[in-house]
Amino acid sequence: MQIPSRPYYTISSTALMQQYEDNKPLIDESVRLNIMLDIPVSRLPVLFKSLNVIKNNYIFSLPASLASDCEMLKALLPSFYMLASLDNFSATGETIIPVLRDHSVQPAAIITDLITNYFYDQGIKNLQLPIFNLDQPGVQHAVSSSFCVYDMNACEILEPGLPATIIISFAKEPGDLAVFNDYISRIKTVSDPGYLSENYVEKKIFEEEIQNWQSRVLLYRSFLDMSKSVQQKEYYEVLDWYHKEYETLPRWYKQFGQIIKVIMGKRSFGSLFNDNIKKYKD
Amino acid sequence: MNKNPVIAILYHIFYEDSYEAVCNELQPLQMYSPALLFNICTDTPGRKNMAKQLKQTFPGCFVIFTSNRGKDIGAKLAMFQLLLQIEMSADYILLLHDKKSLQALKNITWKNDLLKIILPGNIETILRYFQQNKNCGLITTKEYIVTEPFENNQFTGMNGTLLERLLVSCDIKPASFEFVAGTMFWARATPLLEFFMRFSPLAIRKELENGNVMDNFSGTSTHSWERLLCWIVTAKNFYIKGI
Repeated sequence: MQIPSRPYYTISSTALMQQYEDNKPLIDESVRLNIMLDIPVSRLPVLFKSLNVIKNNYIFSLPASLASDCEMLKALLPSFYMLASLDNFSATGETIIPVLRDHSVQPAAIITDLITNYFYDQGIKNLQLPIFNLDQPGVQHAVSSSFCVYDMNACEILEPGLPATIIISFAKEPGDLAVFNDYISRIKTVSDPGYLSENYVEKKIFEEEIQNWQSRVLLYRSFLDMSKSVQQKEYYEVLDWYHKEYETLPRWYKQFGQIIKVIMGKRSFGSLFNDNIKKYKD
Repeated sequence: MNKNPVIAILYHIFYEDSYEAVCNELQPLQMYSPALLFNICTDTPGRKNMAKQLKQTFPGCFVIFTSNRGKDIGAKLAMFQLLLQIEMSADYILLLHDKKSLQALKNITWKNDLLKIILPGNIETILRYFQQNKNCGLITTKEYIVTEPFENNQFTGMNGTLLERLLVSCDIKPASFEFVAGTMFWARATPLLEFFMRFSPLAIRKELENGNVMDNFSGTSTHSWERLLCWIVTAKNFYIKGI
């Protein structure tokens, strides 16, 4: 497995919130997190507030028990969408929400369509919901993500492999944050120096940024076109108004109006008889 | 004033160069310690950087990124969802965005006029007016209070058909059809929050058009909701005050 410099380390929401409720930021800001949504609905507002405080980039994953419960999902989809909209959510070109299952839930039971369609309706067209098995040791690949259930006792070295978003889950869940930090510091990664995927996430963000600038240029061009058509419409409306209000008047009435203009000093007297004389003052 | 009012500011940012302007505009409001929610469009180049800068300048603010759906209206709906999500209560909500309307001839005048509501001299006046006039629901720049044309029991403007359908489906019965063109205004929070607890802001957002939609040539859900955001409040027997 090719390891980017900063993989996503799985942590439970409960553990994360304990840390920030106590106001003891123990996880290094540069560590990317995969937050497992294992909290009751009533705790979601606190999770939002905690995520707003931390500076870590994160993705979040759904437990399969939740992702297979249609009614529960329907109720929580707005929250999931908002979680994926917070600025620290680490979109990498694709929006990834891993679904983590154990042996008790079969992949077929997971309702991915409901989630994908909801996100699509909100404008996220490339949501990916890779399903990973927490009971399966070693590396699993799905769409553009790799998931590794990592056994700290084995002290493996993670070997280079596919360029992807890498998510690491610990075979034995760290009991507290000190253990979590210790695990992170002990993981040894090997990356392929010949391949940019070491910075897979950064590369994806950079590509997206270029695309955004290109779209922006096209947008500004479309503003110019739109501006032209709006002004054209306004021009014809004014012209139409002029024809209805003035041009339809009888000739004698308009000529009389010119005399009134001369009397009011708004037109030169000479210009009534000679086209070469200047009509109006500058 | 009797007590310090709780203010929530919902600010949508679309343009990549808006950061400084946003900071300047919000400066006079800082003394009220408002809750700040920003939405930056996902199409906006440099949005991650801008979010970082905003969080440094306005500690504790929330920043979300959403796609360009329903222009500033869709963004404001997403921010209403966030308000509900974090269970934030507020007395007043201030809706703002980095309006440029580059296609329009009078775009600079528009924006400056709309921003009258956050000029240092006006903020205190607005808050006092709200406190002293319990039936005032919205306060905005008076030149931008527009009445949707309605004749012979039906809307006659571009958005008429959509408006009729939405008023029925959302059970909104405004006494008048005045609204704030440009959707920058102060509002009493309760009627808006109560409405969005009944009707999901994201479900409404889903129906809005993608991209830089305009209603110069035909009606749109986006522009219909520009009107409805005001009518949600005025339907609860509140009126719009122009300054």
